[in-house]
Amino acid sequence: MEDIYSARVLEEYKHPKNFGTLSSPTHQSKEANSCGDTIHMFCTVNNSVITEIKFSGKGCAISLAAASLLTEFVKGKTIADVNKLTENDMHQLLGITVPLSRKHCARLALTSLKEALEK
Amino acid sequence: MNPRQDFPFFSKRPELVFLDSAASTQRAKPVLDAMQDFEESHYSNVHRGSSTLSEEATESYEQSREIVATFIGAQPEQLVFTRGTTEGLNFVAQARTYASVLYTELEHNSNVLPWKMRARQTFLMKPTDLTITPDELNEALQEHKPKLVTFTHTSNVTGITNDVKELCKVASDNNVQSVIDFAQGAASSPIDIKKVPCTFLAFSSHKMYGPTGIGALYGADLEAEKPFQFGGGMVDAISENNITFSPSPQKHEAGTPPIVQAVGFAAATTYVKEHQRYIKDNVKGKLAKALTEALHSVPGVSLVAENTFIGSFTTSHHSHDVAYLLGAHNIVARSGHHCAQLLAKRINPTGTVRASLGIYNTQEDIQQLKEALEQTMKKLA
Repeated sequence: MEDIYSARVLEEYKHPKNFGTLSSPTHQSKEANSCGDTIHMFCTVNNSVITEIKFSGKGCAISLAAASLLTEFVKGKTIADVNKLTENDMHQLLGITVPLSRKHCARLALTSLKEALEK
Repeated sequence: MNPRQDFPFFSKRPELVFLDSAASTQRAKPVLDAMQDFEESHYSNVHRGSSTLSEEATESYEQSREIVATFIGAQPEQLVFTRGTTEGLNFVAQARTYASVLYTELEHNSNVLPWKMRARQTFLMKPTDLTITPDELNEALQEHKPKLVTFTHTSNVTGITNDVKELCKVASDNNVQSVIDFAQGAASSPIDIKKVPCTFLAFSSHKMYGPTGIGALYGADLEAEKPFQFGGGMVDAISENNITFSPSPQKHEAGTPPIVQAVGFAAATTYVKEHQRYIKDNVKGKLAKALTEALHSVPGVSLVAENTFIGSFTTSHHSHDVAYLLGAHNIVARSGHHCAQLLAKRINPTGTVRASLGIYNTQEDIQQLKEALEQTMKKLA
């Protein structure tokens, strides 16, 4: 069994980047999954470009590490860039083979971000 | 006595520490033997045809019903074979439309959803503690005046057993029908239905060392209930304008029933009955205590209930992370809401880790859990 709790995943879980809130986000959304995990995304978007991004919430190591890595990755990217991202991109960011039972954990941050940018 | 030897699973998978019996137990050898013998030597469809073989199979099937009914102190005609506890509870919810049903916060989803979907009105009772007291139930019944109340015998999250005898008496005194979800109690707590005045009781074979795909529903008066499924083997006569259903329990078992599984189920009830003293003294006694002590000894672990055979706990980490990492140490435990979301969310929004004991668990299993949990907590810290 591959250890999905890699050094990278554990580091992002223990010290997540961009964890917090924005006081005046232009876009935000809070999404939950069936486990009870929640990821609240806050973004500032200027001319379709994400200039600031934070997230808050509760979740497992995979969902929090995914949120940390995703928020770091999308800084400076456009809404169109984000909309092109897929579950596989999330797995690549995490750098692990995400087992079937944990795919929803890896997906939550992306779902929340896409939902925020749609509003 | 070493019941672990009765489970071939552990000789094939000696590396595993199986602590997920609350989800489903492993199969006992006498169960597997009974099923194999029936498959190889007696199998035929039941209640159909007049061949000797069919009569032989029917006799085994009905004998299995008698054994399972006797296990809970019921008569065979009061027991319908179902697919499991879930189907049993759905049976009750669908056989008639209840105007109002009271359920509790301690229930598995299978004892919530059928009522939410089928009853005209439902009321949720939130016990103060993790157990249902007769006084609190009486208060709730007086306040809401439901037609039926449903509650768990033993919680699948905490392992706490309710005093169902007293609860059923309270229901009866209020002229309210009662349903017991006996799924978690069947393997651990003997029940004599003659002393517990419930209207219905449902349980599953696969949580008591028997096969999946079969369970039983006890009904005090199943003859009075309408069938909720329709098909072959349940009518005496049918014409264009008239249907005469067979007497209970046949009228409630449409289609070919799980015949082989019924034989296995009966063998499982016999196995549990023969080991009731061991289960009481060890699984619910010494091992439950050792499980509590082991979990208490790991820093950062909080137990939901003490000295029960279901050790649910929380940590500062997500339950899925902890259970997954325990899996890397060959510990089979479960995480999340355990299909009891109302209760799990009350305890912890992201669920609990659940290490549940069966007859085959040992002190060594608990020691291995403790060591694996210590390493898991270090890794996540």
